[in-house]
Amino acid sequence: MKKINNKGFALVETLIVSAFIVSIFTIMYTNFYPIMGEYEKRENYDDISLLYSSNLFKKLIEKNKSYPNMASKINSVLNISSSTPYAPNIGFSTYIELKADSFYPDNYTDNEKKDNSSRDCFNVLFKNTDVEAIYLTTYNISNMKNQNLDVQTIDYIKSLPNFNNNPNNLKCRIIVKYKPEGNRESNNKDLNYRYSTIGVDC
Amino acid sequence: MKKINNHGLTAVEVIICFSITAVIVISLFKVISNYNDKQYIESNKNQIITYKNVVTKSIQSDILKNGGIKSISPSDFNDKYDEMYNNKYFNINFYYNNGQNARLYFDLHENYEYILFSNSERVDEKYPLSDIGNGVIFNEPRIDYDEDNELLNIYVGINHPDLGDKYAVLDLTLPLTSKWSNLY
Repeated sequence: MKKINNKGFALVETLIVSAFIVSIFTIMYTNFYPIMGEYEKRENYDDISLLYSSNLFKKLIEKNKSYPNMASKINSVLNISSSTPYAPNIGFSTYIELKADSFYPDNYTDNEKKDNSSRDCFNVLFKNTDVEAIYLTTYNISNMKNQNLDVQTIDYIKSLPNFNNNPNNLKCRIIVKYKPEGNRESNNKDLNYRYSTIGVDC
Repeated sequence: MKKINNHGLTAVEVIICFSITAVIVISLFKVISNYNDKQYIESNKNQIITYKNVVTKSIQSDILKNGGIKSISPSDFNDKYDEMYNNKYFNINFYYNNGQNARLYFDLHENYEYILFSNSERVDEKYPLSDIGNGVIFNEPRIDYDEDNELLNIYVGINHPDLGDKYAVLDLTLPLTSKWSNLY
């Protein structure tokens, strides 16, 4: 006669299954929680106002790209890129931080001195749009992802694609770092910098 | 003959089961309720961002399409700021480089607040603040015309019942073409 097993689960069996379920939930939670943080960070990336502000800097660079100061910066960015196309560039800078002097010709003529106010324009825009820093780099930013920059900037760059497709054949890109929101109006201070990026026709 | 186990559960087993279930349900309820609140707040944020995107895109596209702003009126905007604020409206006319013009208007009357942009094609685009949700109010707009640098800054922050005053519905930096012709 067939004997039926009616003993139920042993304590050890129950504990093993419970531990298994708990570990699954723990793994799910630890993977899910950073996604929420990531989502909150991304609200500071590529906001429409920031994109239009970055577009102003793009135009200013394109206008001044033939001036020696700006041209030398563009060339050095492009040379770094072409000399180290595949290497992980730890220790190499694949970007240049733009300052007001980038927009001023070295050997300006008197007319340029009178008419060209690009450096002043840059300073005024820099101040009025709450910019913290502008990084000029290549259009494809794969070499930027391991640079020695601050954590928030690297987080932003890593969140971007490499921009392998370049339909308009642009050579350069600017990554603009803006001061945290709330500097102008709000008392509710935010500690996160804001970022946007745009391709530049160098 | 097959012997059937018909003992059932003891009272202690049932009580333990119920108490474990109750603890799980209560903890899950808190977690779900927390995420429900988060979802509500994120949906509010989404509405603000959408509002800002639509208004900004409309204004900036019109400016770019018409070759930039040549001048604004009133040209002494900063002097008229207090007068406009006391009467709960702001009105700025843009005169474009190609001869067209447009008008940006803010109405701050309570429960009736909106932004109106009459673009260069004479189309009135009205953006009521109620689109964002109930209880949202405009903070005092900061509209500043830097006459020396010919730069117009418009910042319209809002006060949201859940999100406070962190967010803005408009944040424009508009260079005028007489000094900034190289940007257009």
